[in-house]
Amino acid sequence: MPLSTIELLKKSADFKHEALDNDKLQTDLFYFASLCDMKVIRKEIAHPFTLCSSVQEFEQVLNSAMSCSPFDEQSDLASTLLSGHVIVRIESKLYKLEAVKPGNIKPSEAVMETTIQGPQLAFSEDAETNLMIIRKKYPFASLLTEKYSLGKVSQTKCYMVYDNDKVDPNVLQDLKCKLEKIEADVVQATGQIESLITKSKIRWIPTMIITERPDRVVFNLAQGKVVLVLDGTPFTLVTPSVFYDFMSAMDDVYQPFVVTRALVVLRYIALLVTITLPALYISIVSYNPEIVRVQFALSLAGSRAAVPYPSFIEVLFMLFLIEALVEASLRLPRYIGSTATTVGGLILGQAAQQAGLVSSVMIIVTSVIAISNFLIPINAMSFAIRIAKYPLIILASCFGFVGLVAGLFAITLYVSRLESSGLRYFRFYIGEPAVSGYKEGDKY
Amino acid sequence: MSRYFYYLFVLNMFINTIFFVPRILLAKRYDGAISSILLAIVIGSLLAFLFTSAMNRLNGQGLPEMLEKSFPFAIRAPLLIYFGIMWCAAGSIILIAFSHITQRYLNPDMNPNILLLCYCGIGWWAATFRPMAILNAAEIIILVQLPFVLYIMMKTLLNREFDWDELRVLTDYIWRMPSWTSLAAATYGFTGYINFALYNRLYKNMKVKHRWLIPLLGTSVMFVSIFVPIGLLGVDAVADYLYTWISTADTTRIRFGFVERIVYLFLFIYIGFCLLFIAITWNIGSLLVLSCVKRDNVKIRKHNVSMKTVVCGLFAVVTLVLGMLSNDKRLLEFVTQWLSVRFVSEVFLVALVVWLSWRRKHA
Repeated sequence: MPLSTIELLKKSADFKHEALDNDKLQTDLFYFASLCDMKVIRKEIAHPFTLCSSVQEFEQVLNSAMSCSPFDEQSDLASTLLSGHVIVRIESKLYKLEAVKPGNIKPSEAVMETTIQGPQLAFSEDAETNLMIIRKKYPFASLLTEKYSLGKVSQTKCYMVYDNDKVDPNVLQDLKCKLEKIEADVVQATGQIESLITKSKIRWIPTMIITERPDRVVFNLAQGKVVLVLDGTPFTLVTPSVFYDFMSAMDDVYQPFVVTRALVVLRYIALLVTITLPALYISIVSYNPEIVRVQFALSLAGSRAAVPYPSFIEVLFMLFLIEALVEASLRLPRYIGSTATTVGGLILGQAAQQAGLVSSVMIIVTSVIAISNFLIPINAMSFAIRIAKYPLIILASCFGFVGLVAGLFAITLYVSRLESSGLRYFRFYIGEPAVSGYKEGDKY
Repeated sequence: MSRYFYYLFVLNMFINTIFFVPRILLAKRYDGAISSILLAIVIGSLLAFLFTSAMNRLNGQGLPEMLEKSFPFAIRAPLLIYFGIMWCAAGSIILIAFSHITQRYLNPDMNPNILLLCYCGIGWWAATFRPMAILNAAEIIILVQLPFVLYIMMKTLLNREFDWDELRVLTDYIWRMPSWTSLAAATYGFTGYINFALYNRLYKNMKVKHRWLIPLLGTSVMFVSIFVPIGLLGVDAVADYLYTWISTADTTRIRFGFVERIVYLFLFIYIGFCLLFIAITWNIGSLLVLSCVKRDNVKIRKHNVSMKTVVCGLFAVVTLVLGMLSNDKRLLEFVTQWLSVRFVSEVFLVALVVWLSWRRKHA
C-alpha cells in the first residue's frame, strides 16, 4: 500500500483512518467522510466485523458484501478513494467497498422548458437518479447505458444512453471516439460537452439539444437518438438533432394536431421576425421608405422627427438596452430581477422616446424583437438566434435591402452546412421519416 | 431525390426568363421569336430528356469522373476548364446584371461598385461550400419563395390592364423563320438540367422521375415570361424597356398588402434567387476546374488556403473587374454572343454525355 498517498490524503480534514479492533482481529478503514455513506460502512463492515473471529471469516464477509472486491494493487488508490470507496485493510490484503453518498437526488420542477399539461418534473442533479427516471419511462431491455468519466481532474460521471435496436451505429461510434478524446480538466455541464466534442472552435448554432425534460429524452430515445446524462446537472444532451427539434416544444405532442401546427407556424414567424425586424427597420427608414404605403412612411418619418440620428444608431441603442435588460434579469437574483425589468422596460423605453433618442415605432420594434425571441422553445437556440440579428443589422446599414436579403441568404447557407453527428441539420425532410415526428409509428 | 433536379431546373428557369432572355426575344418579336420559342421548347426538352437518361445510366458520377475513364489528361483538362469557365460566366453575368438592377431600383444613391463588391463577396463565400449544403439551402430558399413567385405571376396575369389583344397581334408573326440568336436565347431557359453534370455525384441510384414536367414547366414559364410583358406593356412599347420584367412587375400593385408595389416583392425574391444561382454556378465551375488540379491547398503567407477558395476568389475578382468595366449595353451585346456559344457547348456536352453512357452500355 503506497503510504505516501495516504500521508498526502491525511492532510485533508475529511479523510478518515479508522482502526477497528474486536480483540481477535484488527482492521483499518480508509475513506473520505464527505464522500462515503456511514450507514453503508456500518452495515457492511463494522457490524459483521464485531462477529468475526478469524481473518478468513472476515474476508468471507467482505467477499459476500455487495459492491466490494479485492483492491487491485495496480490501480490508483487516490482516485478509488476519491470516487467514494472505502479501502479496508485486513492484515496485508486490501479490499475496496463502494459506499458513495447519494447527491441531490430529488427531481426538481422543470423551469427552463415548461409544459402546460405534460409531465411537470425535470431531471435531478444525480446521474443515477436520472437513469432511474429514464428506465422507468422506457422499460425496454434494448436500452443500454455506457459509463464514461469526463475531465482529467473532475472525473465527472457521464452515461451514454441509447436504444440498441434503433440507434445508428455510426453515430454511436463517432460519439464514443469524441467522448474519449475529451482532454479538458473540468467538465461540469452538458453544454460544455457539446463544445468539447465539436471540432471547430467557432460555434454558433447549437446542434445538440440540451434538455431537462425526461419526456423529451424518452421520445428521442425512441427515435434512435443518443442521450448523454451527466452527473451534477439536470440537463441532458441529445444527439443527433436537427433544426426542427429546437423549434418543437413538448406541448406539441400533447395538444391536438391543428393547435400544434398553428403554434409551430407561429414560432417560425416569430423566428423570422426576431431576426429580420431590426434590419428591416433600418432598410425602410434609411434606404427605401417607398416600399411601404405612403401613409405609413409618413407616420414613420413623423415619429422619427425628433430623432437626430440615423436609424442604425437608434436601433443599436435600443437593442443594447433590451439585451442588457434580458441579461440583467437573467443574472440578478430572482427578487431583484422583476424590478430591473420594470425600471428598464417601462420607464427607460418611454423616457427614451420622449427625450428624442428613439422613435416610438422603434420602441414597438424592440419589444416585438424581444418577445418573438422568447418563443423559441429550446433555450440554447434562443440565445443563438439572439445573435443572428446583428450581422443583418450591419449588412442592412451598409447595403439596405440588398444587405438584408443577402444576409438572410448567408445565414440559410451557413445553417444548412451544419451537421449533427452526421445527420444533415437544416433542410426539408420530405418523404423521409420525420425527425421530430412524435406521431411516428402510431396508426391512428 | 429527383426533386433536387427540379429545383435546379426551376431556379434556372426563373432566373433566365427574367433577365436577358425576354429582352433578346422581345427585340425580335416580329422576326421569328415566337417560332424560336416553340422550337426551343422541343429542343430544350429533348436535350433534357437525353441528358437525364444518360445520367441515370451513369450512376452517381460527375462529369470529371466520366471523362477520366475515356480521355487522357491533355484532352480532359482543357474541356473541364472550359466548362468550368462557362458555368462561372453564367453566374457572373447574372451577378453583374443584378447589381445594375439593384443599383437602379433599390439603392440609386449607392456606388454600383460597392454593390458589386457585396454580391461578389457573398458569391465567393457561398461558392466554397459543399455541394450538399448548397442544395439544402437551395431547397429551402426555392420552396419558401415559390409561393411568392406564383403570387406575382397570378397577380400580373389577372391585372385588369392586361390586354390580350396585344398578344393577338403576334399571331401574325408565328410562322416567321426562327433566328439563331433567338433560338440560343430561348433554349437557355431549359438549361437547368445541366447542373446535374456535376451534382449527379451526390445521388447514387437517382432516377429523375416525372420527366413530363420538364416541357410542361418550361412551356408555361417561358410563355409567362414573354407574354406577360407584352400584355402589360404593349406589343410595340415592350422593346423600349431596359429591364423588361422589372418594369412589368411595376405595373401591378397589391391593394391591401403591406408592400404596395409588387416590384419590391419581386426584387427581394430575385436577390435571393440570384445569390443562389451564383452560388450554384460558381460552385460547379470551381469544382470542374479543380478536378484538373491535384493540389488541395496552397500556402499563402504561411496560411493554408484551400484551392476551392482560391478558384472561387479568382472568379469573384474577375467578375468584379469586368462588372466595373461593363455597362448595360455592352453587357447585353456580350450576353447575346455568349448565349450562342453556350448553346453550342450545351449541345456538345449533352452529346458527349450521351456518347459516354452509350459506350458504357456497350463496353
